Amino acid sequence: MTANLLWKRIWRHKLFYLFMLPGIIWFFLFSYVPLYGIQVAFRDFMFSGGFTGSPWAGLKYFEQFFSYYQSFELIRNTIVISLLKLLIGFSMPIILSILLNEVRNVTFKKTVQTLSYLPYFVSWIVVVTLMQRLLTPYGGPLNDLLSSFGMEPIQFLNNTTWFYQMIVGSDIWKNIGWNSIIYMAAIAGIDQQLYEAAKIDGAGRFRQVWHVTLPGIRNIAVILFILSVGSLMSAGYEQLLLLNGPATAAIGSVLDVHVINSGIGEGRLSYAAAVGLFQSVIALILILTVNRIARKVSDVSLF
Amino acid sequence: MKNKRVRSTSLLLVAVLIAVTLFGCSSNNNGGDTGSGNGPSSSSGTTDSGTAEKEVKLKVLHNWNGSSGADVDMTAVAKVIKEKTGVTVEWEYTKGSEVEKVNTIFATQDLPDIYTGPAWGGELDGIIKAAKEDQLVDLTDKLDKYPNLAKAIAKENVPPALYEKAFDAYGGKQFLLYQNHPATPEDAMDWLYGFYVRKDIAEKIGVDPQSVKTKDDLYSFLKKIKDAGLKENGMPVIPLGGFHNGWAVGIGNTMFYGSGYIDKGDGTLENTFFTKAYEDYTLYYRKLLAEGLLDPEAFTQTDPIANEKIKQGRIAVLAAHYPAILDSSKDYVKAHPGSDYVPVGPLERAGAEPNRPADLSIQGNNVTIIPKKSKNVDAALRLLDYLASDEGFLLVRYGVQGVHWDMENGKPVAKKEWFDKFTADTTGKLKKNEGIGIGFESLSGQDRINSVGGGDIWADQDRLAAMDNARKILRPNGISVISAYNPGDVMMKSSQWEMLKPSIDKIGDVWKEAIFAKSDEAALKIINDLRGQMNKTGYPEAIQFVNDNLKGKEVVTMGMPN
Repeated sequence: MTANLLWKRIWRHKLFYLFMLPGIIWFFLFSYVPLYGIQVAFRDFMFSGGFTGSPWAGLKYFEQFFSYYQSFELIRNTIVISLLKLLIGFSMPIILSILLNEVRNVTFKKTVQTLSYLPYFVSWIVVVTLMQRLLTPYGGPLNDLLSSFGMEPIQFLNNTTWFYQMIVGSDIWKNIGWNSIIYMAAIAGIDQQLYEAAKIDGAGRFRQVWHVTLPGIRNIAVILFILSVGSLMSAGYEQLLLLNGPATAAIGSVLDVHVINSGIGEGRLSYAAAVGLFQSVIALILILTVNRIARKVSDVSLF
Repeated sequence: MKNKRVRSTSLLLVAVLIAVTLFGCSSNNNGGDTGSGNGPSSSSGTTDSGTAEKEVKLKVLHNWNGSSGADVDMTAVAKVIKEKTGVTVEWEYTKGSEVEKVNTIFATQDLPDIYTGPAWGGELDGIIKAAKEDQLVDLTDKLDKYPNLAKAIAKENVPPALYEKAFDAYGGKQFLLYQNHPATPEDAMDWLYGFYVRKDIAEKIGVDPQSVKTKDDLYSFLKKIKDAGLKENGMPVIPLGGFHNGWAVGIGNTMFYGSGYIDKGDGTLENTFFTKAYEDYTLYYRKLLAEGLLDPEAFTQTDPIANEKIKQGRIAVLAAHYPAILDSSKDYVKAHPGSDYVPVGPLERAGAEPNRPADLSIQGNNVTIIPKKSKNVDAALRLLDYLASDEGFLLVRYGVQGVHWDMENGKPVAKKEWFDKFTADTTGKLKKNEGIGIGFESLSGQDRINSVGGGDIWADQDRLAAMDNARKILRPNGISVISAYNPGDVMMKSSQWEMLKPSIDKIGDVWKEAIFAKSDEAALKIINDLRGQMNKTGYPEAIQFVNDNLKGKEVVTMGMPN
């Protein structure tokens, strides 16, 4: 296609492109413009010099991170928590959307949908405060319930035994509804004739899900999986900042919180930028790798 | 036609979206009538000398977490300040970490006209970095015009170690101002840090709080409280608790070692973190935690949660300074007479003779700086100098003379109507809305509450009596003000400091992690891992530097929290 033809087509659909403009501007301002700040990872950041005027420091801050005695622990914890979230949390919205699709009572369906979306809009600070109130062994309702059955109170938070369950469980509770929207949309787009044909072939509800619904959302699931793998090096700083404490630090200290603590808490901005850049580079490598694998295995890929 | 309407509406929608997006990105949202550049705003005020001063609105960042101001823009005190200096202050109070705030304002260059905040820790480190990187107004040639400010940062009015570290560290230039350092010994504030137990609970378990002297006594005391199975509001009473992020449950460290650095016996110093005493201290707290004697939520809770527990009567022993304990327990004590928190001990002090006075650091708590980006440096200095004068000090501490208080026989005396109103208001809001007890206090120069103010005229008599009682119990040998060198301040000057600092900063976190460890061995491993990191990042060389520099000098080896 010649450039002239391309511009003609763009002009013909100018209204749609105009709709894209706010999104493009947003991405440009908040995702591309800040990229120039990456250089601070290679500089000795000074208040007076800023991002562009501070002296060059080479790979000093990367070396500092890798010689830090907890760097391995931080990377390991980040990957473990992210993997758990990915493996357990990724399938949950798919299951919810399939279950909701099978519900025939519209009022019930809409109510469940709305209720499941709501937690997404609640900030982590509120979620964690709620968890603290509900789960505390000092008069929390859940422990009161356990006591009424003659059980010993359980320290759910600040306890390594329950840490992963709390992290993954609260993450699923908060995001399951929101993440299911895209699958609901994909399911709605499946040709109803396929279900009719399956029925004629004698397929029951479960068989219809297995042979029609799941293949129908396969492509979107693969794409979302590829995108999710990109966040393997990021375990979610708000949640971990609030739910991790000294009791769970050995398994709950993650890169995201380390970046915030060293950057803003200790004023080591160059070091924090270096650790952040390391996270991003690994994320990019992961996305490219999984994308390649997905393309080979299933013909579905991002690019 | 319909298509045209849809198209027009769509275009309008897109235009609005773009406008909103761009507006949201704009940083020009301060909204205040602050003028531009160094130019002051319109009308004028009059100084003491009668000269007309242009009116200026200055933004002041009060970097103390949890501090708050008045609900009204112009308080009675602010009105007087405006009349005297021509300056109106727009306050910003920090909610959250003070260290993070300092680092953020300089990194983003979103700077106030005046900054005021803690004179210690990471907050002070951030200010020193800013001074060294030419971010602050050099006050060297200006101070002769502002005698009250000059006096507060004179060498004799700043603790020697702090002076060397933060005030005389820029090749003869002056960048920092200093507040709340006691002007005379009688103005010195002893915060009476300690363990305090609810009187009624001590009576219930039949233990005299003053009989608790040793670490074993304290352990047995807490165990007795737990074993008594006390309940409040249907919930179990927690034997030992504190406030936000574990403040200050760890103050039992003085039972194990004298200060952050100890003399190894051969005249050389060692960071206490490397000693057996530190391990014993850690394992003692681990035991308290493992046996349910210490609130496990104490290290992650916020002040509102801590206060809620105290207001519900669920904490038997609190470790903190006494004013905080009196404030937080006020409501519960009012509803349950006889449940006041009273001092435990005095507890043993490692390495201290029984007749040794309490070694306290008495120093100002506040540094103030004027960033170079300040819109009117002269106005800022005029304001600060006025607040640091005796007149300004009395104004911000006591309110407006003739309105809130009168001078009788050379001594300020509170007006009864205001005293009664302020005493009845347990929220403290009324006082703040008059302009008393808000950010201005932090800017009021040297602390002269007794020498000039004749003693706090608004203080509740019961509270004063409680403080006096606690002082008698906890300070049987009086106090001794620390003036020796702090090895930690010297270590900061070593060439290893940049690499070592992140490890040193981690000591507190590692201690908390260790006391939650599953076993004593695991706790010691956590400590040893950090020791290894410190050795790797230059601790041996840094402590050698400290020892070389402090040879023959008096060094702090005994200290108590204050």
